[in-house]
Amino acid sequence: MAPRWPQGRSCQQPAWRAEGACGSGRRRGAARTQHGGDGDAAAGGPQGGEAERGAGRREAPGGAGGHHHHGHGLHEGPRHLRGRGEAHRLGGRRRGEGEQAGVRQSTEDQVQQKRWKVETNSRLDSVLLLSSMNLPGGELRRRSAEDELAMRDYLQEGDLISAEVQSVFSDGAVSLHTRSLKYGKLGQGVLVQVSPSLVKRQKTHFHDLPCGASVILGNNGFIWIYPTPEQKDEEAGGFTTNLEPVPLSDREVISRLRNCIVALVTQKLMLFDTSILYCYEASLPHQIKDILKPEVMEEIVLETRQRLLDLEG
Amino acid sequence: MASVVLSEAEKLYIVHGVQEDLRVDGRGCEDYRCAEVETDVVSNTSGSARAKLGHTDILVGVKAEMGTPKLEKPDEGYLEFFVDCSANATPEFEGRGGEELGTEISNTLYRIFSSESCVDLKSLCINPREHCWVLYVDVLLLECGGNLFDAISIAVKAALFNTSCRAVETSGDFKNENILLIFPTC
Repeated sequence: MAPRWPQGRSCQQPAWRAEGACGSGRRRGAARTQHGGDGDAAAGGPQGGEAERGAGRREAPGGAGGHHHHGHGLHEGPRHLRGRGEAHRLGGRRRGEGEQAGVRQSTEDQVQQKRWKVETNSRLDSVLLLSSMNLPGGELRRRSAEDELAMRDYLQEGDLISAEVQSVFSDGAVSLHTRSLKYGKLGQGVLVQVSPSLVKRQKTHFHDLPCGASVILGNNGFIWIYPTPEQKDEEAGGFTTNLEPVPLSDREVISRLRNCIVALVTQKLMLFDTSILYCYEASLPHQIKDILKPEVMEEIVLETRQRLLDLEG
Repeated sequence: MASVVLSEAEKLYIVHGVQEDLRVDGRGCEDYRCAEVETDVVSNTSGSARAKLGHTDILVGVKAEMGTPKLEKPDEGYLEFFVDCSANATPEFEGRGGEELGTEISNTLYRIFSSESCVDLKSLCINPREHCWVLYVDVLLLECGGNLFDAISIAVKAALFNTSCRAVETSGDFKNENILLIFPTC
């Protein structure tokens, strides 16, 4: 018999953590209960590639949908849906199972039976099955009870991960996987949340900018800025975090990039590696904290826009 | 205040940054965010102001009413503060969640504005021991984005700056009776 996560586990979390998913409704997307529990796992998992509306919704910020979810005792229910904002959706594009559909960053919410509930700034919470995760070091996973219990050593609630969309459930919830070494837990850095419609769809989402930091542009609107790791070790994407203090020069670059991204978003410019880089260069004459002033923001973004137009021809 | 969920690594990054006097958005530890202050925003008050400090949004309204001076300070008017932490600001203030914070902030405001250099309370007096102006200051939290005390004190100061009451004179023609004559504001 499959071991159950003791239900008390989720209750033991500090109230603010569990509430956080719904409390800061502005920041977080709709959370929902675990979609199927045992029944679906037995039925062979999510129906892949289904429903173009599901695919479309994956990339959308989600709406105040009147979608009722299955009550499984772990949900915070309607509060999340009310917390949501716009109901805007991108056109539905079919995505097959396993196809790279986009990198998303997400925060872990809860561990449920053999899976993590993950918040991805979409209408419904996403699911990260334990079987979709690589163990640190890329060992072969042994699906055992110790595996599940040890899962909490690798990831905790509140952690940020980068993952790829594996498939979409029929109701629009998304199943994630971190089966490549470039995905996994994110270490030290800064998260900026923007509207997903401002992130340009590109082939690569991981960019190492020449100014000295790296950026992950998630399709769900979560932008992660982090110091470029020195050497590309083979264990990258694993679950060991580097906890050494980041040097001040790197911090300044990261803060400046963060402010530039906020400036671009306020002026409604699309976010991609070139626009962010141009904005960074335009902001160099100013002090980092001055970039937040409205007049400086306008000036920088105007210059960026000009350079981008010149680039196009 | 509004709670935010962060990973351990993010928290560590922020803490190390603060130790080096560099916040995530490039400000130093003692730098303010861009502040916007607007006065005279509410029409049916004696004075009002709205202050925005980043994502923190405060609305203050001041109503001036006639009252009796306090016994221990017979030749001064006084201020009464009320802070309303509405559920608009953050869902944690739903129901009675914001009461404790509201009381704490209004107690602080009492302490701040009881000093003589803040408001000239003697000018609020009309007749010692009998009539004075009482300023009822109502603070409404519209959005809770950190640094409430600073934002509220800026807003209250601006609202008091914007407050005007009518000039009042008393004429004591009849014995034991005071007639109050109210003149247009000068």
